[in-house]
Amino acid sequence: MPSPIPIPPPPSPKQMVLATEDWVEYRTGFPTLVRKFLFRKVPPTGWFHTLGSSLLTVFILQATTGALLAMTYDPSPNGAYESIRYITDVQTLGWLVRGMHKWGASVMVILLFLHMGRTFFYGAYKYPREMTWLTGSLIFISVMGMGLTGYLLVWDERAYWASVVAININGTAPVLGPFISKFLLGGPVIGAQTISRFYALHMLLIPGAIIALIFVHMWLVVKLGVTPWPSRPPEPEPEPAYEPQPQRHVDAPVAVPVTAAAEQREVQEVGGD
Amino acid sequence: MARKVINRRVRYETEYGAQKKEGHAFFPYAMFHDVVVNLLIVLIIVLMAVVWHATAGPINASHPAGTNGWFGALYETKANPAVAQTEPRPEWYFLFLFELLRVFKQPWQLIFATIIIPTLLMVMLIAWPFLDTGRDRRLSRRPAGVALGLATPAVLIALTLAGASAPGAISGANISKNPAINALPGSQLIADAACATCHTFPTGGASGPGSSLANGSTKYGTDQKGLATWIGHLANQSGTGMPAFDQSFNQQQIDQIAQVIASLKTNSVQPLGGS
Ligand code: HEM
Repeated sequence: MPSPIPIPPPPSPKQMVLATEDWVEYRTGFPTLVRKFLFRKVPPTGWFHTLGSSLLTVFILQATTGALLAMTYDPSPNGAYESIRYITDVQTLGWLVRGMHKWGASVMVILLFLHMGRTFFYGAYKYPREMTWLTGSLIFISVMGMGLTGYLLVWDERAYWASVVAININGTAPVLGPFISKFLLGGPVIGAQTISRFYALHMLLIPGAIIALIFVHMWLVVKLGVTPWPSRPPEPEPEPAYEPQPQRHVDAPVAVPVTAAAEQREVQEVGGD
Repeated sequence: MARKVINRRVRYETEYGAQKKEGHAFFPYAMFHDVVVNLLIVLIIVLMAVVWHATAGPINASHPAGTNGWFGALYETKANPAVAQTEPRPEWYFLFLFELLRVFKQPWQLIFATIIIPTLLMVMLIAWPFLDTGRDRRLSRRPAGVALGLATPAVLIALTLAGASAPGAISGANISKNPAINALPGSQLIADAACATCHTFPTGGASGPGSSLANGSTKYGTDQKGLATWIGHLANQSGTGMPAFDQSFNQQQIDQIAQVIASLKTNSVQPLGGS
């Protein structure tokens, strides 16, 4: 009589979780990435360090409420105002979506100024975080562009005339000014073409640029780590003079391969202060 | 004297490594702060939307846009390219630029408000890390940077407040103290076009960006043909930021406006088309 094949005991819940994680890990590497992101060591941080993540949240909120508005909004001189009224007065919770989008924009601008102030006074834009500040500045300018193009979309008196003045002023710029004005207007006066152009800028072009810039900005923040309050004097110059090492450890959630060429360039930065 | 080789990278990494040792893991410590503040911000946005909507008053036939609430109306009247009934106020975060237009209101100065200062601000913003390259981050060791960092927002806030409290339009067609001038059809057109949101008239109006018309036009005086050309399109083409009114008014209406401006010069009604 053949001996029966032993039936393995059913896996415990813990084993199942581990197996699932292993499945995902082997195929995507995400669990390691998330763990490195979450458990990376950061220097002492406080409440002022929360402004950047608040900006990210508000941006996502703007994108979401904006997408909801776009489902009803009609970007035409005859339809724009009526669709805004419909959203505000008739549509279920339309007023809330529009209100959050409208006031979220102002909150975002305030947060931008506060976050810039925080990084400025902490000296967080200094070596090696110059590119973090630079991408941030470009985000700032783009967000102001969102404010400018979004304002006209309501198509009420105030927005219409403010945009007339803004476009006219733009047209006074030397060389490119008249060209940009013509492009924004899309015709001799503000009309159907203008509203389509502002709409395309407001919901496609500028947000696309902002999303790309936020990705770069966030990558740099995680790679370089945040800056603590500058309470201590900088380290004295190392003695003796630094000898370039072939391999250097970069303490970041995802190690960035430092190529030999980049290493060489970095060493060439060596010099006076 | 041997030139000492300093490596800014080693120095930085030593310093940052020591700072990290004093720190903690991002999760849960720093993330806790993030979550609290993020929830608070979302709550503020929802509350603002609720208060805005709740206080804006009933929407009915006599108040198609609701009455102005704590945070302003839900929407104003629909844009009518022919008549401006409200002040062309930008969003609050552009008020500083709007105010700059008042400060530099002469045509030759306008380029400061429209191009030079905004461009300078943007270039400074982007280039700042490459201008301020000192390695000590402590405030006491970078007084010039800190002074600039305090002065810039102070100036921006001052300009914003000044822009926000800029005088509004005058009521109706009462643009002058002379009832005969106010009775001219052009005076009503001036009220419709909201000229007083940019120009001063004898009874009030804004001190800029446009020039003062309290004593008529300095440039054209009683030259109604010149005024009509200016109002129609020349002002716009000269890059003053003034709309081209021949887009919204017909020639007769523009001539009537020119008549009023010419009459302001002498404070007496000038015949239409000039003497
Ligand atoms: C939507 C816009 C933005 C988002 C989502 C964002 C997000 C973040 C986040 C999450 C951080 C981490 C630390 C912190 O929160 O303080 C950060 C850091 C930083 N941000 Fe932004 N930011 C934005 C705009 C800006 C702007 C406009 C600037 C400056 C012009 C800027 C400059 C910086 C700098 C220099 C750091 C490094 C801080 C450090 O090392 O401590 N950011 N950003």
